[in-house]
Amino acid sequence: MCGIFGVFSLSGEYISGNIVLRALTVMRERGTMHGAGVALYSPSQHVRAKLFTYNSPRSAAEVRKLPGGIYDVTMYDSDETDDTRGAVHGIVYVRSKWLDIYKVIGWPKDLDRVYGVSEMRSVAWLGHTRYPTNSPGGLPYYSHPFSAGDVAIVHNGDLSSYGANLNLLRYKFRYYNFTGNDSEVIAYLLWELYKRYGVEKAVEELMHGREIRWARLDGPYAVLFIIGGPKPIFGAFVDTQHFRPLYVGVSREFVYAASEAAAIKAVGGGGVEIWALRGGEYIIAAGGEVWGHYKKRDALYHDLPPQPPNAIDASLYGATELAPAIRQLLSEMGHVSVINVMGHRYLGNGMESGILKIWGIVGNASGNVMSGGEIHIYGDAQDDLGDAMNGGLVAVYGNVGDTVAQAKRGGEIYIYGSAGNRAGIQHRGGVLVIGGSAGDYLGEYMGGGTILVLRHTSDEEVGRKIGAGMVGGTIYIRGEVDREKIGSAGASKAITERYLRALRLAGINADPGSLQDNLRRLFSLYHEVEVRELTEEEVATLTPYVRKFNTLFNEDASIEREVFTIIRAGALPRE
Amino acid sequence: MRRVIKSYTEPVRRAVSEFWSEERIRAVRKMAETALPHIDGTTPSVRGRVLDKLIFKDLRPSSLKEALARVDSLGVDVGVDFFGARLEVPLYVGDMSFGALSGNPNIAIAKAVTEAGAVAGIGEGGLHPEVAKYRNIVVQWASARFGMDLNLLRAGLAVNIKIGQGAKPGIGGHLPGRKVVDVIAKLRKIPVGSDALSPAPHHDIYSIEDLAQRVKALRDLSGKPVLVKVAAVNKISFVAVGVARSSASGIIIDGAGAGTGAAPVVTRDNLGIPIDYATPVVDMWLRREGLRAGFLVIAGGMLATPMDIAKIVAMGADMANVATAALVAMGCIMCHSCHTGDCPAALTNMIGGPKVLDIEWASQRLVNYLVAVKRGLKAILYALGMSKLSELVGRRDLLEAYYIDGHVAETLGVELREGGDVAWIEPVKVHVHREYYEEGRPPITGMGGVVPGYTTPARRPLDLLRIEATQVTRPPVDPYREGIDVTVRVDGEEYYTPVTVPAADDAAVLAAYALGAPVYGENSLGIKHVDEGAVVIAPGQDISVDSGIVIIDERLGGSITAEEAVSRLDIELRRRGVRDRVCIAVAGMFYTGADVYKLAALGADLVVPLGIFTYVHERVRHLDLRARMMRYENTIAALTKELKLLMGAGGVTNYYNTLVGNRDLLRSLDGKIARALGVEVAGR
Repeated sequence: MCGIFGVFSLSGEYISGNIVLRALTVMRERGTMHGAGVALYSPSQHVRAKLFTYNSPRSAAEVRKLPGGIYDVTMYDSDETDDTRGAVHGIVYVRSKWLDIYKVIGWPKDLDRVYGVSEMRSVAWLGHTRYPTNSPGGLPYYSHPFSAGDVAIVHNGDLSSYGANLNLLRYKFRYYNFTGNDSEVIAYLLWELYKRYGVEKAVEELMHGREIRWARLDGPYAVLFIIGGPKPIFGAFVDTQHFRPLYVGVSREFVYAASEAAAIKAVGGGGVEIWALRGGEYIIAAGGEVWGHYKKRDALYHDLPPQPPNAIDASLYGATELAPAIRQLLSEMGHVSVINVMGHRYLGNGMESGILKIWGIVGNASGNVMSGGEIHIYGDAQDDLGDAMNGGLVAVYGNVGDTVAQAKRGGEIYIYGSAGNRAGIQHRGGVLVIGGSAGDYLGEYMGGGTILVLRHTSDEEVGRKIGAGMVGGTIYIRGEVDREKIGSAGASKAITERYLRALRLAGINADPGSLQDNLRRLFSLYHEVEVRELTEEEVATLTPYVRKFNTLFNEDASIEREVFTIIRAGALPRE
Repeated sequence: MRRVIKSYTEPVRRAVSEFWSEERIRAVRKMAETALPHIDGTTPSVRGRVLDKLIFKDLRPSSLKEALARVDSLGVDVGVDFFGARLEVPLYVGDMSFGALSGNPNIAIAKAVTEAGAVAGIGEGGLHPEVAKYRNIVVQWASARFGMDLNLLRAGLAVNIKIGQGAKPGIGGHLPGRKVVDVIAKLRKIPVGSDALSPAPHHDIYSIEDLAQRVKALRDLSGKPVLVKVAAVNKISFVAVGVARSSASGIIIDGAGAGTGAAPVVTRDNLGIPIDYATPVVDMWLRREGLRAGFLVIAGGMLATPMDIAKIVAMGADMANVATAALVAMGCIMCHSCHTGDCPAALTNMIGGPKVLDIEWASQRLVNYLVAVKRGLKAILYALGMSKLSELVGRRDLLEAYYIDGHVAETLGVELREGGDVAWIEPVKVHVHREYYEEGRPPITGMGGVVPGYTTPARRPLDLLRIEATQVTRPPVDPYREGIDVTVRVDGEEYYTPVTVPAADDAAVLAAYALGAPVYGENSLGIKHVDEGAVVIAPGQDISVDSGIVIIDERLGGSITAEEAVSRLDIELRRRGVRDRVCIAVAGMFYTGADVYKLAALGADLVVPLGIFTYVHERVRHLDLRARMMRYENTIAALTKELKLLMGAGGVTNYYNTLVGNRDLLRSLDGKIARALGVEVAGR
C-alpha cells in the first residue's frame, strides 16, 4: 500500500536523495509513520550484505543500533564467509554488489535523520512511504524496498496471488525465508525471471504468467524496480486492471515514476511530460534508452490563462488543508483562484455556487458531491474527480485520472484531453464530454445521462469492456468501436464457433436468433450497439455540449457527418 | 384496499436447522411483546455458534435471577457514548435501505431507536423524508452512491462508509429489479425495473490509503465522525487495523450468517467468518497495535438475545449491530424471500404491493425488544459484579469454552474447559435449486442465519472451509462486468472452465464441448475426455507420477476424504518439484461453484461435480437431446459463474495461476479439519 516514487538518470548525471524525499513528502497522505525506505544504485567492490539482527555481531563492517533492540548490520563478502546468514542470525534485506537500501519505521524524513539519505547521490533511486496492510508496522524489515539478488522493488498494492507465488518460490526456486509481507515475493520473482528471460519478458511474465505457472501477480500492484549490474536497469509496471495509480514522467535527462502526478511535477519542474500508465503497461530505462509497452498521453492545453496576481498560493497549504480554506473563501467571495496546486485533495467538494479556478495538478477526490457552481482546472486532475456530482460544471484543461464522474447524477464535466479507466462509472445524469479518449470500463454500470467521447484531441481507441453492466443512458464514441470491446463479452467469437460445431455434431439445426438468445442467457450479453452518423435529433441534443466544449477549449470539434458508435443498455440484465 | 399488518403470523417451520429457529424467533417476539429479557446461553451447547459454546465462568443463576427481579432499579449503566449522543441501549440497528425495506419499516426503525435510545443505520438508498425527522440515525456512503447529496450527508449522527456486509463479503448491494418501483427509481436515479446493483468495491477505494482518503473527504464534507462497515472476512485483523489507522472513528463488523435482502446462496454459505471468530482477533490486534482506545468496535451477525450481546462485548466489541433480530421483532417469519418483493410480513415487500406495515405497531415492538435487551444486559452485568458496560469490553478471561478444539480456543483467546469439534457434520440431503439447470445462474436468497457445519449440519469437511473475500486492502472484482479468467491448460488443451462434466449422457458431453468444458468418461461422440491415459485413484491411494493427469475419484472408496487427498497430493507433487507437469482432477459428490473453488485452492486443476450432474441427469432424462443439452449448459454456466463470483470476492482474477493450490485463500472453522487439509483456522 502506499506512495512510491522512482527516478532514473538518462544522462548519467547524479540525482540527489533529497529529490526522492521531497517527492515522497508530496505524497504524505499515502503514507503513515509506519515505514519508509529507499533503494539506490550504488556499486561496491565487494558484495554488500545488510541485515537486521537482534544481536550485535562481533565482526561487521558497520553496526547501527536502532530503537527496539534491533541492529542494522552491514557486511562485505570479502571479510565474511560466503553465507552471511549462517554467520549472523538476522534478516538479510539486501545482498548485492550494485544496490544499497535504507529502511526505517517512520516517515521519509526519518530516512534522512537516521541515515542522511538527502546527502546521497545516485543515477537510480526508488522511494517508498508506507501504509501497512498485511503485516505489522513495527519492525523495519517490513518496510519497502524489498530486494532479492540484484533486484530491488517498491510496491503499492496487495496481492491476491501471494499464496500461489509463495508456493512457486518455496517449491520451485527453493526460497525459505519470508517476512510475511506480500510485496517481497515480487522481488524474488522478478530476480528469478530476469535471470531466465531478461527484463522485458520477466515483466510480461509477472503480468500475464504465460510460461511459468504461479509466477503471475494478481490483485492490485504498481511496481517500480531497479536491477543492478554494470549498467543499471530501471522500470515501472502496473496491474492489468489498473487498480493502482502509476504516473510516469520523461524529460531529456530523467525518467520518473510515482503514485501521484504531483510528486513528479514537484521535483521535475517544467520540461517533464507526465502521464498515467494504463493497466498492463510498463516502461523500462537503461543507459540513455527508454522503451517498453506504453503510449504517451500527455495532453496539456497550451494556451492557459495567466495566473492572477491575487490568487491563493496552494504551496502554503497541506494536502488536505486547502479544501476547507477554499470553501470558506468561496462562501465569502463567490470567486476564488488558486495557483501552485500540487496534488491537494478534496478541492471544491460540496460546492453549491461560485467559480473556482485552479492552476496545477488537482489531487484525488475533488469536485465531489458538487451541486452547483463552476470549477476550471488549468492542468491535470488525478483520480475520482466529480464523484456523486449533482449539478454545476467542471472543466479540465488537461487529462483526468481514473473514475471521473463516478455516480454523477447531474451537471456537466468537460475534459480537454483523455480520461483514465472507469470514466463515467455509474453515470446517472447530466453529461460527461471527453475531448480525447478513455481507458477501460467507460460507462460501467451506467444508469442514465450522456457520455460523449469526441476523440478530437486524441484519436486513441477507447479501452476494453465499454458500458459493462449498463442499465440506462447513452454512450457516444466517435468512430467505429470493435463489438468485442463492448460489455463483458463473455461469449467471444471462439466460443460461438465451438457452440455451432457442437450443434452440428448433435445434428441440431439452430436458428441464429435462438442461438444468440442462448448465448445471451449464458453470458449475460445485453447491449444495443449502432454504428452510424447521428440523427438530426441527436445532433440537436448534443450540439449545445459540443459548442460548450469548443468555447471552453477554443477548439473546433464537430459531430455532424461523423460516424459514431452509440451504445445503450439492451434487454434488462438479470443476475 | 391494502392490508395493514399489525400482528405476528406463524414463523416458518423447517426440516434443516438454521440459526433463526422457530424457538429463537419466538424468544425475540416475546421480548418484543413484553419488554422483558429472554435469558439463554447459560449452559454450553454441543452444536451451534462458538457463542453458544461459551459461558461466563462466574455467572451464578441465583444472582442473575435476583438481578432480573429488580432490573429497573439496578445501578447498572449499559449505555455508550455515540458521537455526541448518549445511547441507553448499546445497539446499532444496521443499515437496511429504503427499497430493501418498504418505507414504513424504515420509519418504524428510526422512530423506535430514537425513542428507546439506540441508533439505526439507514442503508444506501437515499434519505426517506420521514426517516430524516429522527435524530438517532447514521447515513451511509456506499459504492453506488444511491440518493447521495449534501442534505443526506449532513443528516444524522455519523456517516458510515459501507465496504461490505456479512452475508456477501466482496459482493455489492443488490436490490432486485422487481422492487425498483417508481419512487425507488427516482431516488436512486436508475430506470424502473432495473436491478439496483452496487459495485463490489468502491471504485475509488482499492487500498487502505484510498480508504483513509475517503474517510477524510467525508469528514471534511459532512463535519461528522465517519464509521466504516466491513464484513468479517478471513483477514479481518488486517482490515480492522487499517480502518483504525485511516482516522475513522469506528468500525462495524458484520459476521457470516448476517441478514441480507438478496444474496447469492453460494456467497452466504461460503464467504467470510462468523462474528465470534472475528471480534476477539480484531480486539487483540487493535490492542497490540495501540489502536483500540477511543475507537468504537460494533459487532454483528446472528445476535439476538441479551446474553449474545454480553458475550460479544466480552469477546471485544463496544456495542452490537442487530438487524435481523429487529425485523423478527417487527414480524419477520424467516421465509427467505426478501428478494422476491413478496414479504408476507410487509417488511421487505415491494412498495405499492397489497400489504403495508403499521408503523406504530412495529415501532412499539422494536422499542420493547430494545428495552428487553437493555434490561437483560443490566442483569447480566450486575450478576458479573459490574456497573458499566465498558467494564465488560474485551474480558475474554471471564469466558470459558466447551466443545471446540484447542487451536480454535487459542486463536480466539478463550480458556478451553472441555474439548470437542466445531464441525457439525451429518448426512444431509442437498437441495439443488432450479436456477442452476433452468436459468444458468446462481440462485439468490434473502436473509442469513446459515453457516454450514456451524448453525446448520454440513455434509463434509469441505463445507467448513471459508473462502477469502477482500475488504479495503484490495478491491473485489465483479465477475459479471469485469475480467475473471477461469481457463485451464491441460495436456496441450485449453478449457474455458475447470467444471468437468461426467459423460453420463451425450447431451452433457455436447454441452461441455459447446462451452469448452472438459469431459470425464468415454463417450460415443468421440470427444476427448480427460481420463484418457490418466491415472484414476481412490482418495488416499499411493501414487508415484511425474507427469500426466491424476484423477482422484471418491466413488472408488479410499481411506480419506477426497478433499484431503487433493491437498496431500498437491503438496507431495510440489515437494517433488513436478507439480507443474501434473494435472490433478477430483471427482466426487460436489454441487456448487464453492466446492470447485475450495478444491482448486486445495490443489485441484479440474473438478468433476458428480453430485449436481447426477441430479440434473435424473431430472432431465425424459427430455429430448437439445432440451437436455440446454439444461447441462445452464448447469456448467451457473457453476462457472459461482466460481467467478467467489474468486472475484477475493480479488482473484486468474484460476490457473492464482487459485490452484493457494491455501492462503481458505480458512477452516474447525481445527481438526484445518490440520487435515493444510489450511489455517479462521481468525488466523
